[in-house]
Amino acid sequence: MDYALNDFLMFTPEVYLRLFERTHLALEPWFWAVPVAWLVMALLLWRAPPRARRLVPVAMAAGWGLTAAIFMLQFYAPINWPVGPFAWLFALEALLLVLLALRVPPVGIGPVVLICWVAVLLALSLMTALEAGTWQALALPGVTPDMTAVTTAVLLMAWPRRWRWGLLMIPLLWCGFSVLVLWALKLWWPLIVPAAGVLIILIATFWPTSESPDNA
Amino acid sequence: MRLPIRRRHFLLGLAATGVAVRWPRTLAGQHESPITRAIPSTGERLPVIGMGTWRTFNVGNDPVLLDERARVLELFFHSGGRLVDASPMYGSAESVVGELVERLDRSDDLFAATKVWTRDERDTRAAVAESEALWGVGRFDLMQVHNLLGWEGHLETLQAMKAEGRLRYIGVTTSHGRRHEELERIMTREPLDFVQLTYNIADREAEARLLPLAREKGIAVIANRPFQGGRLFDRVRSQPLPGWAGDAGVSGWADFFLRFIVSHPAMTCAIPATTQLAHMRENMDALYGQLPDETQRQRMINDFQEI
Ligand SMILES: NC(=O)c1ccc[n+]([C@@H]2O[C@H](COP(=O)([O-])OP(=O)(O)OC[C@H]3O[C@@H](n4cnc5c(N)ncnc54)[C@H](OP(=O)(O)O)[C@@H]3O)[C@@H](O)[C@H]2O)c1
Repeated sequence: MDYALNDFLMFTPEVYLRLFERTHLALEPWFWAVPVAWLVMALLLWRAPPRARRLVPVAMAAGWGLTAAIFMLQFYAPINWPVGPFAWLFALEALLLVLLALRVPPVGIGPVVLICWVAVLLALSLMTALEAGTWQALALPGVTPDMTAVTTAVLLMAWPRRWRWGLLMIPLLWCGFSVLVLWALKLWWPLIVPAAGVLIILIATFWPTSESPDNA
Repeated sequence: MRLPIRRRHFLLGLAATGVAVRWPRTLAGQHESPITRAIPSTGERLPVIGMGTWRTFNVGNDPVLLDERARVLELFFHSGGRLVDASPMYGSAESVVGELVERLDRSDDLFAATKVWTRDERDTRAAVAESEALWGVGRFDLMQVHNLLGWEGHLETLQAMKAEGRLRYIGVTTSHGRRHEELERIMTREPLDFVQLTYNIADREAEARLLPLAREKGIAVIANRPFQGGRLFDRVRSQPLPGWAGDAGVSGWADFFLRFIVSHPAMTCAIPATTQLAHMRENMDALYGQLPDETQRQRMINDFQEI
């Protein structure tokens, strides 16, 4: 008699996928404001002056806070013990992002790079919906934890490398945890998100600092 | 507003959900009694099929899944089931069971079995009180020390609580064949009403020493992981049931596995867990009819090993 990885799992895949639908319902009718906010952020990174670009980390911080409060503390923590402490780490990340906003704005990003990243993130947010078979299970950054962590890692590439490292720790911890959970649940499509997250975080850790003349 | 699912709503609810579920065969029309076994320490009889809640009842505060589990639990009680097993380790399962038993108005039918699961051996009374609040029961029928964690301190307090009339029965649990030697020592020395251990057609280590010892000492036995966490079904997938089993009244593989377990003379009850109405119905089939005799049990083992 031996233990298998899924012997340690406290809940079923069905309950996990329902977390996404429930978050969607809890945010109605504001749910669709979230992708609009992300598009505005992309526009800011492309066109806005440095002062206005500081809104990007502030919005990211709000996303980490919202994810912690609703998806994690309200829905996920009651069925998975470690998620409660993680929610507090998410709150800490939100705080760090606000501090970052006060210290350094992100550099501007060209349209081609932006479009590529938006496409990647869009594809990733479809994974849980694909698994659950309903649009209601769409995983948006700023609302659900894996996508919040992945999107933050992408956006942090717009800061000098030395500012990124501290902010990539919590996303890395979360993505590692989520990979294990989704592996045990055998949820292969959703697993792509935190697995891509680990990869993107590694890339972001070593990606050279992009210098921008207006980065004052 | 969400309608409470009470017994009178139950049939209506099943029809509305369109679930093609039939009654456990012996409930449909016949008035056969469920198979029961006596708890050796008192002689009180328990139905041989109970229900586990690990993973299956940890649905948190999801209203849709709470309604689905309410239907599963109602079918369990309706089919004659009584013992529900949970633990503080199972996430929200204790509070879910508590909420649903109240919603179904089934507290009189419930044999409430949970566990103390804390390393701190001075925390027993607080842990029991916390579980009582979650289940909404005034007194547990059975309180077990989960996986022997801190068993010495906990058992001492549980014995005192039983003497005070705060608990009806006490016991200890283990699973996956772990710590059988230690369990044997505890069974030999401590006055236990129940032990819970893993026993199924593929995991039969308990047959060698623990089950005979339970009989000798008059300890009731609960079999956990009766389907090896569901893996037994992977092994028999697409395999037909042996012909003789069908003739002997075995309705399917779930019934086959459960009848094998509860036909062991030391066994009091098996506690399969499920999220599905159709599976609950199959599992409750094993609560009625004839149990296999020793020759048929041997045949079950041989047939299973050949798969
Ligand atoms: N140390 C301990 O104290 C300890 C350790 C382990 C277990 N336990 C107790 O023992 C209980 C039972 O063990 P378990 O839950 O680990 O495993 P189990 O009951 O052997 O197997 C549960 C699995 O079997 C599936 N299943 C149930 N009925 C079925 C049917 N008729 N046909 C096909 N599949 C079926 C369920 O899936 P569906 O949901 O799809 O039906 C579920 O995945 C636990 O819930 C817990 O209360 C205690």
